[in-house]
Amino acid sequence: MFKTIIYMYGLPYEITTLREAEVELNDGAGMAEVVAMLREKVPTLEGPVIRTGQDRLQENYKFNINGNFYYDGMDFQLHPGDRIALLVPVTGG
Amino acid sequence: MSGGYMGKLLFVDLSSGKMTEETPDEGFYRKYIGGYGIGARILYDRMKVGVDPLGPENIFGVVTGPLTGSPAIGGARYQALAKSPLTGGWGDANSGGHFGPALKFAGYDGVFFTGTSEKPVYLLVDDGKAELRDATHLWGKDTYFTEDTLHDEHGGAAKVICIGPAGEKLSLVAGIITHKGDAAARSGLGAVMGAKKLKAVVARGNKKVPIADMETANRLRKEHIEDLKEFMEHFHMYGTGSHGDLSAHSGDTPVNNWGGVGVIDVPDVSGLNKDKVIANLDERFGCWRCPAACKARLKAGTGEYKYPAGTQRLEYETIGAFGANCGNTNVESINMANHLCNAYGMDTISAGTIVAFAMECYENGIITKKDTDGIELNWGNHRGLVALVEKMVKREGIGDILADGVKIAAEKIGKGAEKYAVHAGGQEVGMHDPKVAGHQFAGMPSAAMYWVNATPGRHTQAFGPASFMSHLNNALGTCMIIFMWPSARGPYVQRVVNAVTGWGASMEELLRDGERIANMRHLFNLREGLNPLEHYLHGRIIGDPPQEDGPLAGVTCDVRAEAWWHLGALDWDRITTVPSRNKLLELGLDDIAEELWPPGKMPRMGPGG
Repeated sequence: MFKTIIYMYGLPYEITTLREAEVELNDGAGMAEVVAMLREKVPTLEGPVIRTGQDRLQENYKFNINGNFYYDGMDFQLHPGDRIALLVPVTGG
Repeated sequence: MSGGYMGKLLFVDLSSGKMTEETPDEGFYRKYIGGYGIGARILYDRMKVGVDPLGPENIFGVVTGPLTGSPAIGGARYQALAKSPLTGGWGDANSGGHFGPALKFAGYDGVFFTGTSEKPVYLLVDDGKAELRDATHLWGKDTYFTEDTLHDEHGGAAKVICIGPAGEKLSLVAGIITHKGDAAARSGLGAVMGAKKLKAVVARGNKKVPIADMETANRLRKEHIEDLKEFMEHFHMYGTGSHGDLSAHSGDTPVNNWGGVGVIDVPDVSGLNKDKVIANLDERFGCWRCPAACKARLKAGTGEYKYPAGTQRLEYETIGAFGANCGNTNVESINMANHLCNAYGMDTISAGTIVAFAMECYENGIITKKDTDGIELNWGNHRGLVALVEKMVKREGIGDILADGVKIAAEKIGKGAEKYAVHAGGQEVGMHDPKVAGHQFAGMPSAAMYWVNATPGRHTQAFGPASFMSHLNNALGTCMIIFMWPSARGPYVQRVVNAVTGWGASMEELLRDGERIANMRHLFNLREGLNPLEHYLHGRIIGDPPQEDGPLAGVTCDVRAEAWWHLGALDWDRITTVPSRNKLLELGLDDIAEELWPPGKMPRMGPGG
């Protein structure tokens, strides 16, 4: 197990004012485990960001892990020292 | 003739005052659709290579599409085009409002201008007749005065596109304004009008756009409104200005001249919140027959910034450019800067980027208060920002140096300023950082799009096969946001095009039309000797070197790989970017295939071929 901080950028104020959340994960944690721990730590993410009752991100939300982006349907293995951030979808204009 | 077309193009020689009408055959319309498509083909055929963009030989066009003025949702747009004085290559821009439909109601699908008038003029297109009129009384006046005066002279049904003093003074980032703030701003086309002494185009008329199947077109309109109901409610409230704060912290909006990190350099973005953007709202309105009505006007500014009543509410690009990219979160100052750009006719994306460039030069001692006539330009200094924009739009003091964009300004300033001149191929870049993956904006922007587009730095056109839909949309004369929103893709586009035109085209055929337009824009540049792979692209745009903190930490776009794959998919040579002979023949561009691939000329062989 290891502790890591998930940075959260650009999340709407109505969802959470947090900038980061510390979670405890197994070495090699994948998408589902990270999403599950994030929901447990920040319940207000369920619905708008995390699919209700599922360990999956909503469409177009994504993680940035060490400079690479991961969406729902993709997977990864997170290790101590990896840098992870949760990012919002963006729109046009 | 297909539905959707008035069947006439007007050609105006501003040097002689001579005007001629042409009636292209149906095949021409079907092949090049409208907007940039018709424009690119006409400029390719009729303009010599290497002309001065600000000289009489440049051709400036204003062209609609078959869905402009039709029941199709978002069918309110016109496209402007010419050789760009900002990039030296193909230039285009487009805008909503009411002018596009009005031009068709006046009887024309498009107007092309050559030559240069001796004195300021405007073109009046009045229900099938066209006339050049003296514009001396409008020269030097802002776009608001110009539009009001022309409405007084020709009635409110007359719709106006015009330039302001920025275009008259040949600012290379000058745009074309209608509706007191809807801007065809990119590519510096306002300067092309200014060089031609063409102050405005006015259109009015009562002609009907022929529709092949009006009943189906109207039914599809109703269906589409139902499909987009939820989206349109949000869009009606805020337009594109709903996410300035979120984007400043998500990595979407560039920060401090593309060199900063929002959460670190601009930690409090509450000033850019959507409700601040509409805090001084007076009334909402829309482009012609648009059910979303995403536009709005403000009441007069009563605080520090006294922008006039009627100033248009901010769009996202303007919030980004004058906001986080300048380290600024004072929304009233952005309203003021927006007003100045609209009134004087300047592109807000470029203007905001130029201010950010000047701020970074100031922070690094390259320019000082002595150069700026006392204006302080530290990051986030909103008073300095507004004061500088005022100098730029009037070309006063340092504003004269800055008013031609960051590339030229850096060359004039010297002292290493080019390090801070963030542009792609000479043009300032849209306010979406391509390092953010997964934009919900028609799959764009991407780094290669900013780099390789025929008008580099544009954020709305995608690159490679992904661009075919946006080129089709632009040529049809429709709004990319309301018409191309996901629920509208595919079947709706095809069905409404066929209902209006009667073509019976498949979606594949329509996308092929978009591909043909992408090729025509590119071919214009190739003939000018421009290879887009040689466009300059500032390293900050692609994360070279990458940012060390924030949401985009560690991200570097592999722009060459992206270009390599897309060029292959386009069947363009990966080194010269010349489309293959087969591709040109497939697109029905046989004459250009013969021009580029004459008998005996072998296609490139080997790696990269």
